[in-house]
Amino acid sequence: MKSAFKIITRTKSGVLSLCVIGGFILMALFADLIANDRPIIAKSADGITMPIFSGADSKSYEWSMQPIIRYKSSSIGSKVSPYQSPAISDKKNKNYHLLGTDHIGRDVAAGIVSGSRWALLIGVLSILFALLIGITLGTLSGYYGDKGIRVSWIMLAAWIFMLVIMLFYIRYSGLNASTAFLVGAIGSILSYWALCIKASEMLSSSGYIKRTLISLPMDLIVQRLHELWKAVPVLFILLSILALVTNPDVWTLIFTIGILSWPPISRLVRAELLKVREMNYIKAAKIGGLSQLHIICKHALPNAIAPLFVLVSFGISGAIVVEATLSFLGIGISPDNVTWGSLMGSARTNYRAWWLAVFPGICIFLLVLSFNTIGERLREHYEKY
Amino acid sequence: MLRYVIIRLLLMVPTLFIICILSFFLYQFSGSDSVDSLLIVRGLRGSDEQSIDYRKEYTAVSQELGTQEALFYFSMMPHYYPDTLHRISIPSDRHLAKSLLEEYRDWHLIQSYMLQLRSFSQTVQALKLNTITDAYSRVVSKSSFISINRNVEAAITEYPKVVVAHRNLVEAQRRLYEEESFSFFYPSINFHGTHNQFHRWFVKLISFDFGQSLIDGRPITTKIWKAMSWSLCLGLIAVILSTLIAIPFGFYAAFYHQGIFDRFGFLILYMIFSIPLFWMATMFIVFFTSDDFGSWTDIFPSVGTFFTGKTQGTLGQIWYNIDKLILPIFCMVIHSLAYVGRQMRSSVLNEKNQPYYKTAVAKGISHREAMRKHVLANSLLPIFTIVISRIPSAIAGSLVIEVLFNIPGMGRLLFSSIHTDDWNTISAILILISLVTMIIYLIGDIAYRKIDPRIKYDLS
Repeated sequence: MKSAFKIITRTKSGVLSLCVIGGFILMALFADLIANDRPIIAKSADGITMPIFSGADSKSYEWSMQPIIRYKSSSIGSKVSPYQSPAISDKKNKNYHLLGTDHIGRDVAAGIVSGSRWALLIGVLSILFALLIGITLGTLSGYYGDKGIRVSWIMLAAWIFMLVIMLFYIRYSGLNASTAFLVGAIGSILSYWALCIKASEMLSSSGYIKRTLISLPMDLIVQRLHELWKAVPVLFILLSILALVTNPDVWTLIFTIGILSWPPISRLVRAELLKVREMNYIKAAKIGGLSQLHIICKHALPNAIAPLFVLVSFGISGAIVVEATLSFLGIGISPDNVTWGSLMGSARTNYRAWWLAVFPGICIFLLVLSFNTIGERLREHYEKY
Repeated sequence: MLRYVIIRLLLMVPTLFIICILSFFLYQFSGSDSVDSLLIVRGLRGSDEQSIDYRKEYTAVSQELGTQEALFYFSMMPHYYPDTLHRISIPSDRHLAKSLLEEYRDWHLIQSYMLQLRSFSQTVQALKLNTITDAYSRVVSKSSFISINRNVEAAITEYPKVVVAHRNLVEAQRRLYEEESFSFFYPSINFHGTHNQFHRWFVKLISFDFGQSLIDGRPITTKIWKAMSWSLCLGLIAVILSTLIAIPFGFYAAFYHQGIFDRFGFLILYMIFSIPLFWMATMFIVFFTSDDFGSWTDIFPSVGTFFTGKTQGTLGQIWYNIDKLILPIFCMVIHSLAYVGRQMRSSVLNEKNQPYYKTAVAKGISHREAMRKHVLANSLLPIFTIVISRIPSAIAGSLVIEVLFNIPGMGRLLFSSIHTDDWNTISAILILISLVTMIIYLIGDIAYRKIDPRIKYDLS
């Protein structure tokens, strides 16, 4: 982590992109303070209050400190004026919008501030989710390979049988799906696991069934999964999944983008671990009697993970673009939440409203460019070795 | 080589099969009712779902489509479920039967109750008292039975025929809720043989028959092939044009490495690389299709619909509408150029560091000669893979372009199908586009092995 930071800050462009990203993060964190229709601090008859948090807005203050942008992203201006063009000069006007308004009269500047929150949230969290899947599958296929995991086939059969039975009872027990999953599934997985071990031990010790071990071809399975993911275009699958879910929210979007972007991560982890597992220090650790999990987490993965930063920064920029594209097409999170993509999407109904295309677009461009630059700097560094 | 191709083709089969299963169940779980949509297309959909005519039409069409059959080769259900539940074709009836099963569990009694309900509703409908039966169509618990019975009895006292039918209905209800029911249940597996919806759908699929569109009743196959030929043509044009521009660009930049062209040209390409395609297209449309921003900005024709009338064939139509397609193709080319050009430059630079280049120069061949004769051919090899892999993403990536410019391609078809819940078409699009993608990758791999003899025939 520290070395990655050093590599990035070695060049001017890297420092600049870190600054841009930091600026957007600050904007996202303090979005409510930057763009709000209530004053931050005000003095009224009750003394000094902060209407921005309290929610009460009496409108009669002795003095007040207003936020920079005096609109909320969701609120329609006091006088509804769709497609109002940006006005720099007449600040005295009560209906003043710095960057214009969108198709239902919401302020574009406030929309950009709240959009930065969505872009960063979806970009970062979906890649974290992809990392979780990618590292797990990459480790299974790279470190264990086709012959690394060996289980008794009775155990495997018992495990699959129990899983099917469990899913069956969850489906038909009449419980609410999420409750059933939380209470039933996680608890019963553990108890079933113990039951499976017991059953397979009893069967094999009775002597009727031979205790033969079969190896799980993890590498083969993961490779086929890669092929499956490669065959279908991401945007097509995303659109279909989001159309299937009745009320897609941010989390649906994060999970779907995450599920669709794990293959490059897993491929890289696999390739690195294939190299690492032949190293002498891994063999030494094995002989030393350390547990598999310990070797993987403490010795193998830390040495394989550095080049992942390249994929993470390119992945975040990719996820931001995908999210913006979806909102642009009007299929992302619900239209009440203003995102950069949805602002640009409202330009589609009126191409004369150039400000709707320009300002959010510049934001996406800057953020994506910064993440790409960081990725590029890291890639240059890691490719040397 | 033949062995390699055959094995690759065989490896494609399970992947495609999984995609087929996934898209079949995507279509099933979407909750769209294909029979109902087809009734609307044929103009047979009445407003009253309980009427006898509607039920007759519905059953006929669902027999035609085979939605009365089981979903898959086998199914796993609680033991008190009958193995013929899927034969109830009308969704409201099936839903009622399922809720009754959850409540009472005795299929014979439930069946007799539902028969009584049907005959009661027929008697009532003969007298045009439709609102009464609707009350029963969703109710399963004892208390609500009793409360509705009271209301219905008050309403029907003057029709003796209905009173008799209602008495039978109440008797069937009583038998239902007086039955003891146990809460324990165990799974039972039913096998349905080849008479199931998946089998029927899959057999048709193998002969490229995807059924009918749920929106306009046209066969999906013709709809998709037309869209696919548009997407393929545009994607190929964009990829070929961008490659033809990118290769000399990248080569020239690497030839004069650290020169002015290399520095500024590739800074610009790097920035274009970070511009989302949809933003670029929107900016071009906003600023360069009208004269709002000065007389010279009216460069491209404005976005509109295409004339698809007179000319035959996709290529003919593309040529006929070429003035409107310049801007979309231009956007796709620039987007692709940014990627391929950068790759070409780094590929040439990489080859320039190889020992054979230094040997050639040391032997006395000029820089120009060595670059042209040795480096160029070698640096094109990685570009080949990149260009091949651009084709599927050009087809898919043109989704935004197609939607923005109203081009009747795959992306636009998918987009409009999603907006109209035409799941039959969506699943067909997913299968076909993955088939085309896999075939393009296979062709690319085979060609690559032909070009580069160093590649071994490993299959992992």
